[in-house]
Amino acid sequence: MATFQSVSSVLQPVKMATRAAMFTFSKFRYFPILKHGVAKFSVSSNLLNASALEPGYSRDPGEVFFKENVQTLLERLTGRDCDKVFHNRKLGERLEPPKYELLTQAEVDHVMAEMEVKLKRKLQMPPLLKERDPIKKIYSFNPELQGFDDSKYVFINISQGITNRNREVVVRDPNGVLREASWEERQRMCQIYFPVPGRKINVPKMFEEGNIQSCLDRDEFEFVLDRACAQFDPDDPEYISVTRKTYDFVDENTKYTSLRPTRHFGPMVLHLVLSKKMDNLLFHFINSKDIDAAANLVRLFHTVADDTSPTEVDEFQLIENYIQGPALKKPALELAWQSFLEIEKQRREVHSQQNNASN
Amino acid sequence: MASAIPTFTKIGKVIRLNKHGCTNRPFYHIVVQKTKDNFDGPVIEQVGSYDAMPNSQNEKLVAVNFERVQYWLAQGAGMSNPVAQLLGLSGFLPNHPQTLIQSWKNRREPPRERKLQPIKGIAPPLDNPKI
Repeated sequence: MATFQSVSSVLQPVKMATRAAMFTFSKFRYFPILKHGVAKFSVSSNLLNASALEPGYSRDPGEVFFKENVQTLLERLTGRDCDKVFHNRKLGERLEPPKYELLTQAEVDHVMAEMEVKLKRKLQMPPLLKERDPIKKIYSFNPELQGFDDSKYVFINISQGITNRNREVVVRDPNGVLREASWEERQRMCQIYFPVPGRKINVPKMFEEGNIQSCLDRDEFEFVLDRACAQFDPDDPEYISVTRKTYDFVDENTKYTSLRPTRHFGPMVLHLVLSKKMDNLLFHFINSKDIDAAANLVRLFHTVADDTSPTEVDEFQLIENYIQGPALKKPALELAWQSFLEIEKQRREVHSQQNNASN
Repeated sequence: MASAIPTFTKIGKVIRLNKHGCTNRPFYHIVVQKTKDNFDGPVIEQVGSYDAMPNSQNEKLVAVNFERVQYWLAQGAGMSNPVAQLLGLSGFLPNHPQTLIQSWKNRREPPRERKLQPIKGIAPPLDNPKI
């Protein structure tokens, strides 16, 4: 286990952030970590930025998500269930049976190190960002060009060496205005000329109102979230609305186990903490006797709320203080906590009895 | 600046539209070619594309590798009239006088509409919103 520790400390999320590399993996797309892009969004008193605060977020999610301590807490909450992370996905590709090989210890360590890297990639969390502001830039207005054509001309710069985020896409309207393309136009054009696997040119019907609900009713959370990741950018208003709908649905029906080992669990937890809905999750953790996770959740709450890391070392005390203090669903949580403590006490008694008996 | 760049040269390399696609469905490649070569002959470099048929959002898509266009113009390549017009519309070059003349003519007298019949069961007729 010592080898795992050293490898994970090397592959810190901060190093990935500074690289801002584009990860593409077969059908599902991973995000460049928009570290420098977020700096532009961070502090502004613009009225438009209030849209992210409307659904009840206490803070700008982009600020909070990329902090190192938040990232480590989210990673710890996600855990690393290798079986579930690497499970066979039904993507219409040919499934291969598992291979069994005879290896020396050194080879095993080598393979394990490779698996660590793959695990980190598969568990890279899609960022939680504010909605992007609509593009409004106008380059020139030439009313003398009215009548040259009935349709718009959309120009895209297909030079090599620029990312799709920075690519110049301009539109010449029939009224003679030369403007920058809107986000939807820009995404469509980039997908036509630089296709990303798993992404459709027009938004799939699955993401429309009624259709998402039917997907969620069938418990297909991972599928919806993965497809949203592939289709949209993380600051796309559609992506934010789809993911929020999914997270809220999962929270209301407490179906956390299906999302627990996936890369979406971290953003979901952060969303719940920011919108002050984390009590259901805490209840779930206490009931499933996962005290580490419960303690990490409370630590995350404190980090997000006022940037403090709580001073209690004892996890039980930490959770008690939270339940007595900032919790919103006190009755249910207290009940669950009391019953857990009793079970824990009985377990310790039985354990000590067994020890005495064996001695 | 546009007057310093010859938009048509008799010899040398030229950036122009090569028509591909099929009947009633033109699709142009923006290419750099030697003037004397045929449209289906050897091409030095393809530098973009222009889709002359408007899509369902009433857009005509033009993809241009502006970096390479800049390079070839600096190497002394000429440009054909339509390419210069397209680049003028995109803002890379100033507006071409031909575009202005054509716009003025269209406003004075709307262009003749071709009677495009919808193909039953496959595509609806194009929506042609007037300005």
